[in-house]
Amino acid sequence: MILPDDQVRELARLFPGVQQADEGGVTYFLIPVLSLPAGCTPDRVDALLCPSARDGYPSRLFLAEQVRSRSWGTARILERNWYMVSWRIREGLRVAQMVLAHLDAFK
Amino acid sequence: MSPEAVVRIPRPLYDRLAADLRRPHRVAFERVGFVSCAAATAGGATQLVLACDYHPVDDAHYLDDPGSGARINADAIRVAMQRVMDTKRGAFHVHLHGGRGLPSLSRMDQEEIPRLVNSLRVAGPTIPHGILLLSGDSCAAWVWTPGSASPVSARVTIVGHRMHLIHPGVSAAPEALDRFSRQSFLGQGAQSTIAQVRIGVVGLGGGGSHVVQQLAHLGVQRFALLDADVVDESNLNRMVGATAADARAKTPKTEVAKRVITAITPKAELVTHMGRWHERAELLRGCDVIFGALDTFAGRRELEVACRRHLIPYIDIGMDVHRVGSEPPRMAGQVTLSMPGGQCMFCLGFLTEERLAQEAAEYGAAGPRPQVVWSNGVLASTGVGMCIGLLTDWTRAPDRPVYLSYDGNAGTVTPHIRLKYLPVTDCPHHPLKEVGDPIARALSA
Repeated sequence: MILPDDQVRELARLFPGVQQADEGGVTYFLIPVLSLPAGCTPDRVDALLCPSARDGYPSRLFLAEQVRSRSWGTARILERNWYMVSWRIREGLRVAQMVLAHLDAFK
Repeated sequence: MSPEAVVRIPRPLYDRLAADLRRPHRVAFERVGFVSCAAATAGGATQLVLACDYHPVDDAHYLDDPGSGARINADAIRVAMQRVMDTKRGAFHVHLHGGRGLPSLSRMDQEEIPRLVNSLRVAGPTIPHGILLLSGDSCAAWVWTPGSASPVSARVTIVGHRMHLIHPGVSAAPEALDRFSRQSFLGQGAQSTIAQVRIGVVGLGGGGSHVVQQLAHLGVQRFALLDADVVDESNLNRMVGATAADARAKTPKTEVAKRVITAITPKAELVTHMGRWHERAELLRGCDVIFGALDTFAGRRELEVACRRHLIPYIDIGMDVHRVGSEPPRMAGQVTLSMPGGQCMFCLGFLTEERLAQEAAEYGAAGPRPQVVWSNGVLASTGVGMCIGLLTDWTRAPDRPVYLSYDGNAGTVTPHIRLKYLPVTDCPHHPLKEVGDPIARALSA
């Protein structure tokens, strides 16, 4: 996936330390110690955004730790184990907006 | 534990570099190249070196030196060092000696190439570098792991059809001669290869239990066995080796598999994990072939990705029973071989985003899938036969994608119809540049 330069800059500005990696034909964005909404435990956790369609979702956000007791699934991506919730966001968002929209699942 | 290294080279890449090294040169008697390699660890002290690209030395970078087979100039070394810095991949000096069997370095090689490797280590101090040396039919490798003072002699595996396992100093056990006399048609050296290979099996229920039993009978001695489940009553209709007592005791399926194998081969070398394979992924990285007998498409996708990343052939088996209206149930299954560098389960059309989406939508609602012992047996036997063909090449079948379709109602196993229409292309989903530990690129504002 080739991201427009303005979206790359925006993502890097909002999420310092963000990295990009590819696996299995899919591009992912690794966000180190992402701050989660108030009340979450832990409140900061590594996150992985898949900005393209996966498992029937237009995009998905994976977290390195389980944050809240609800229906969680697991996935192994880029040699790490991740947790995910069933949360669908609208399509057509910029990549940085996707991250924020996925975080609504934890409010 | 003494350090150990395993070098894996995809066969198409190996054939390409071997052909290049055989090209004559205007002034040099031999040619030289560099193989780019990713790194990973396979648990313990085992260093995995995963070849992912080949770079011949430019014709102009050879020196005219009648006293040596090939002498390259400083520009060639500078280019190799720059590539290490740019790609974060290790570099292996490679050249070819004539003759057959395991090659050894000449005295001049031993004096000069380590100095060159030291330059590569300066360019990339945190990744392994080394030497590959080819003969007419074999390959030797020496690996300098980060920080080590001296190299280790590595096991080399040429990954493809046929697999070529080159394990210096290892030979078949003497008891092989009698026990395996009825399968001597597999070829000279076949039993030694079967004894050396390490096979991972993920999922030890209906399909996987047949797989491990057959592999043990064939003489496989090294296994990694992973399953999160215990035996219960509903497994007894199909799980080889499981007993009513196991169902009562809730015996882990890994323990049943271990019992089946060691009853046939008491000295088998087994590592087991009762849990999801994700928890002990390093156990699989050291395997030469992996079988998956999993229930879900998502699980298959993850296991295939792990195999591709570590250049391990993956054999997947599975079955299902469908009901449509008032028709009799339709029993169908498949056996696929996902060979690193070749077409993957997405390319074959077995995995699709639609299937994965449907499975995710039904998560937790699908209930247990129908399974019966005879279809599990057919599919497992087919997969085991495929594995032995890969290791011994006894069929001399041409290298091709493998996707076999099982029709349980008709009792047939045939090449899947999709193979007829499969384009001959490299797999776009798992390029060799993705092998080894993931490399992430920092994004800047």
